Amino acid sequence: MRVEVIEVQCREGVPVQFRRPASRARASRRYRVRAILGFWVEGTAWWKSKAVRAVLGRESHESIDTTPELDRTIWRVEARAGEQAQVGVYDLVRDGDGAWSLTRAAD
Amino acid sequence: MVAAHDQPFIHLRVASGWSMKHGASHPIELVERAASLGQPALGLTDRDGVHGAVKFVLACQKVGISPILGVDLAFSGSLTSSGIPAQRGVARTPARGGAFVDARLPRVSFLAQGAAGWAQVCRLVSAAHTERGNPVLTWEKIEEVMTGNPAIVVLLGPDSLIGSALIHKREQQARTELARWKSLFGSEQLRMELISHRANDRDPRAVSRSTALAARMLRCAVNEHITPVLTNAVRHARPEQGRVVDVLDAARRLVMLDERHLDRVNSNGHLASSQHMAEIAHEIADRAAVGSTQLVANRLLAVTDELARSCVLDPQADLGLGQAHLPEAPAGVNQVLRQRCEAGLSRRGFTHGDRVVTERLDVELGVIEHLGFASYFLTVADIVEMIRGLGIRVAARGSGAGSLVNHLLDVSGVDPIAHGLLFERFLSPLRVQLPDIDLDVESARRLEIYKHIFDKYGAQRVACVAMTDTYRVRHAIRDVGSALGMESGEISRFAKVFPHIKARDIRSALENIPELREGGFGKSSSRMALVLDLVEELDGLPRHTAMHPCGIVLSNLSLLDRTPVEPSSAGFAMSQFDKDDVEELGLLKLDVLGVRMQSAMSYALNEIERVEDVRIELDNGAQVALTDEPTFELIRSTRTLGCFQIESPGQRELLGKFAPETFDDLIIDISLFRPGPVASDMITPFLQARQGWAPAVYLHPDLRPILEATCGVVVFHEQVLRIVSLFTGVSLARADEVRRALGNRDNFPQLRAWFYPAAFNRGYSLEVVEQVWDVLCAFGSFGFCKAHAAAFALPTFQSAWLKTHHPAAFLAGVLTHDPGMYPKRVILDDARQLGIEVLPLDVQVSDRVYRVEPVGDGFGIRLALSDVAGISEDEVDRIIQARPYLDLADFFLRTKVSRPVIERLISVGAFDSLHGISLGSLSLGPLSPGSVASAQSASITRRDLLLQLADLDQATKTTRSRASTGQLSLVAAIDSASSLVPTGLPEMTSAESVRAELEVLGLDASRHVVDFYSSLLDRLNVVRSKDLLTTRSQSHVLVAGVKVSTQTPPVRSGRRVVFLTMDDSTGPVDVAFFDSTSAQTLHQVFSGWLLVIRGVTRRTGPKGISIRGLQAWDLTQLYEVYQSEGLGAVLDLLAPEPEVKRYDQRVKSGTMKP
Repeated sequence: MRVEVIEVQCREGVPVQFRRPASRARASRRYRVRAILGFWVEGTAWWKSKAVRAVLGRESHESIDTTPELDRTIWRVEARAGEQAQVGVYDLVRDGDGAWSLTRAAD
Repeated sequence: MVAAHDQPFIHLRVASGWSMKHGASHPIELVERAASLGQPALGLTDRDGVHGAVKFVLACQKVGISPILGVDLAFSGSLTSSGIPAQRGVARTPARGGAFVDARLPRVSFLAQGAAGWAQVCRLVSAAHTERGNPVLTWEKIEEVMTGNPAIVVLLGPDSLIGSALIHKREQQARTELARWKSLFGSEQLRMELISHRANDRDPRAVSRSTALAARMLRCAVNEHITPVLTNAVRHARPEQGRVVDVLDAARRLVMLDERHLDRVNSNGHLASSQHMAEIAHEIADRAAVGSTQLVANRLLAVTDELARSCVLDPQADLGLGQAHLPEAPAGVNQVLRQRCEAGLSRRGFTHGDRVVTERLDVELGVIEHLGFASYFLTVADIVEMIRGLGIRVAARGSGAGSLVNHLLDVSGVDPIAHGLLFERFLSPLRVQLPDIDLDVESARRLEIYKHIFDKYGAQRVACVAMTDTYRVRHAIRDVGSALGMESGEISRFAKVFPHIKARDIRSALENIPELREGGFGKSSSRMALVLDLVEELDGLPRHTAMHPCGIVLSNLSLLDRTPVEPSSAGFAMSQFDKDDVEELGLLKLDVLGVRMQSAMSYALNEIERVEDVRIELDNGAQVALTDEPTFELIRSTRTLGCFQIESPGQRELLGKFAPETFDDLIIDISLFRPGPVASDMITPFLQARQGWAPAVYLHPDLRPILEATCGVVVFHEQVLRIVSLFTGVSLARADEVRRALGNRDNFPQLRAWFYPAAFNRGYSLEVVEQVWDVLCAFGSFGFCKAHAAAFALPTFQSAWLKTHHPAAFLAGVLTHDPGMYPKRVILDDARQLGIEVLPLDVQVSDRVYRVEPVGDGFGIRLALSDVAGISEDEVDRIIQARPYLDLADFFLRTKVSRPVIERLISVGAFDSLHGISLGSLSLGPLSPGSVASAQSASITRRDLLLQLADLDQATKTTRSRASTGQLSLVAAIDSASSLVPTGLPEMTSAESVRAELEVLGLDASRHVVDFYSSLLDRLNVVRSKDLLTTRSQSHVLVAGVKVSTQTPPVRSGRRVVFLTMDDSTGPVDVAFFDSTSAQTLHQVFSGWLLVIRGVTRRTGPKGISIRGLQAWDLTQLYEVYQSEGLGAVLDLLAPEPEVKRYDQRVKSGTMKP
């Protein structure tokens, strides 16, 4: 799964628009959310985290950052980058620490 | 998201840690969290039971919120026939865990409304638990319980059959299922339970916690006219405890962490805020689209609140907390009790009309009547009588011995008036608390007593008490490690380095225990950080419930309305509550403790009757006087091995210094030998005064009558009561309240402010008051209840009496029932030293157990068949039944005992008498008695018997393999094999024989094992136990012996001391190793059996000497060297280590005090 770090603007906790960073293929773009298709909370597989790998001796424990995050919130939205653009379906993921990423884009 | 609702939310569905390996939080954590969130009440619906209910209710009372109780039960119901499997994946039986250990049955919850509802919950839980370890409810069971009006509310949620039907969008099935519940409980008592953890409804594993399903269930509820209720199916108090929940899921299913095995889908199943729950209500309403979102959401929250308020329970009125629920009393119960007591007066040898006695009896009966406890005393008396009627020894223990009523009812054997025991210490009119009476009975027959109590009072009124095993550090490491997928070897290594400590202490243990710090585990703690976190979180969570080893509750016919019961491993109905809970619930708890010493004494009495035809009544003061001087002579001689409570090395040392002369002295001795008095050195001033070396000190002449018996030292609670009463003028009952308060230092200022003026008013000077106050404060933690000690002293005296007058029978009882701290070989050695012959194992006479046999003028003890390694119960039976035997062949043919067992029997000489074998004429000691070698068979040896056994075994096998030949030819074959021909093989030496005894029986029967090394030990100048007192303090000595025990008591400083006790056939040798001891030496001490120790002596008193160990060697290895290379080589090995030399030099040069 390709993960892009994105910026998201919310209103009352609900995403209203997001910006994907520039890539080799295209410049940075801003997307306007047209509809929320779904919203759910997923537990993370914390037992696959670095902290657990360190316990199992598969990772140096110096590299453990913080305690693993437990949950992330997924917003499945319909959005498009400008009035003329194609409408796509995007999964916007917010980690426990508030960072956003894009895990799925169908456009 | 809109959240206009600011009303507090009440969580109705909460699983605490008492949902074994399911809930991650203790009740108090949940209650405190609810209170901090401003929620006025909290529900507890643990899985499969209500084990945590009382603790939860007490937590609610403490924090000030209202309790709601219910249960979450597995349900095996109908829908299977209509297509949806009720059990998923049961067919799979993976090697370890998974679906095999968790059938994931549908679940239904029930909430109690009022006392009637609580009773129905209790009875439903009992009904679910018909099969041990597999609690599940069925329609039939529900119908059986729900005969009256339902006072419980049924919550049908996503995990119920209705939920699973709706997950699969089978509305029709959901309606059919719902109809059955409606018909049984009525729509009024049904609720559609909506749960949303905002999980992904497209994920089959998570759909049951999705808003989409909750919305679908809400629509169904609206269509079916069922009131919905919003819950959060809470499994953890705080969101971050989600990981613990996962570990518990994995531990319960015995699998590694993986999505497939986890029930938790995210962290939303925690005890969420009211705001969060309002948002959830809003989201469900929005999704359900059954009306205005805002109105529907508010309505959902309102009906939830309404239900919660209707389920709030009153701990007193509904659960019966704080009242006693005693067995039904006969009419005029107080009068009955008085009559029984008066009838006991003459039996107990009191003169009628004795004013002290009558007044005491009146006071006690008055208090008992006032508290309404008469039926309690009668019940206990009836049970004691029943136990005696079964011919089982019974003795009361505990403060109950302070009651004259108990004495007159024959519950307690100690006269409380003669020994100054106070009723007020036992039962107080100031406290409505059921008193504790514990009964010590013969351990071997405890379950027999249980059975009779259940029969007598009926299963409706009796239950055993539960005992819950909670997570401590080792279990926690094992479960966390396995869940994370750590390698099992590493888990074990990590778990085993910890002592048995609380899981929450794991970090401080890593820092403070030197072995852990230095063993590299401290370093790994950063790698193990996550493990340590999780282990701490598991701390104290219940893991497993089992039957308490001694507690039984007795009540009236309402018992099963107050506690659910489940089958215990022993088959008795067991309450789901533990001993503290049943006390809170006001149920009469009787502790029936199995005491091996009582079995041993009972056995001894039977042996005396069998062999000497005398029946001794041990509890009859006329036959066994508590003043018997020979018994006290034995006690003073400190030859008390095997005696109850006074056999340990420390106790024997105290006995030697104290020299008890009376039963009261014995009570004092037992009270002094406890950690508190020993640590605070109360013993020294007492002994000084007792021996007349220093005068007894009384702070005031008024204290003399109270403290005279203990030479001015405060030893007993009873003395504190009297002192407080004397100095302040309060009643003894009030004084006991003061004594209890003194147990907590926080109360000191308040008590002091009361005590000083009260004592001044009574005319005592400031100086005296100050000193007495200091004594009372210091005493707080060390005192002992004299009634307790007196109750203990009785079996102590009785065992010493038996050892004095019937040592063979007594030690046979000790050997058979193994009540004490010493291995059998030490007891046998004690017997030998008392002049009792230890008779060898003999197939013609040995019984299953140790028997007394007359030998000459005295008695011997015959070794028991059951001690032979590997022998089965059946084999013992067959050997006893088929007696007598003509010879080995006859034995072989008729007993069909397995060949290895017969070999062992031969090698320890069990056939010697049958074949006239006597051990070889080697120099090592006398022949075993009674085995006079006849001229004819003089050359037959045990080795010949072993050869013949091989032939017999071979002959049987060959004959059996030829199927055509019949029984006759088997006999013929045996006949030919049974011609026993001396082969001229040398007989086993005594040394070999003892070695065989040790191997086969685990004890050295014919001789002391150390005897074989006597010549070497003598040449090495090893000091024997009996001669140790003649050595000078600070001398270097070699001591030797067979290891009896090693103890490593926890030492506050973290420095470790290892105490080694050896036995060298002349007595015990005690050696202490301090933490400067080399690892090699410690290894030798722990792993070795026969040891030689180099140490330094230290005199501790006229009869006391201790040895500080420096080095240790294996005696058998030294002996081998001695035999092969001579004494010089052994002396080389024993040369002091350089370290020891350095130590000596420093001592000599004066740089270090020895």
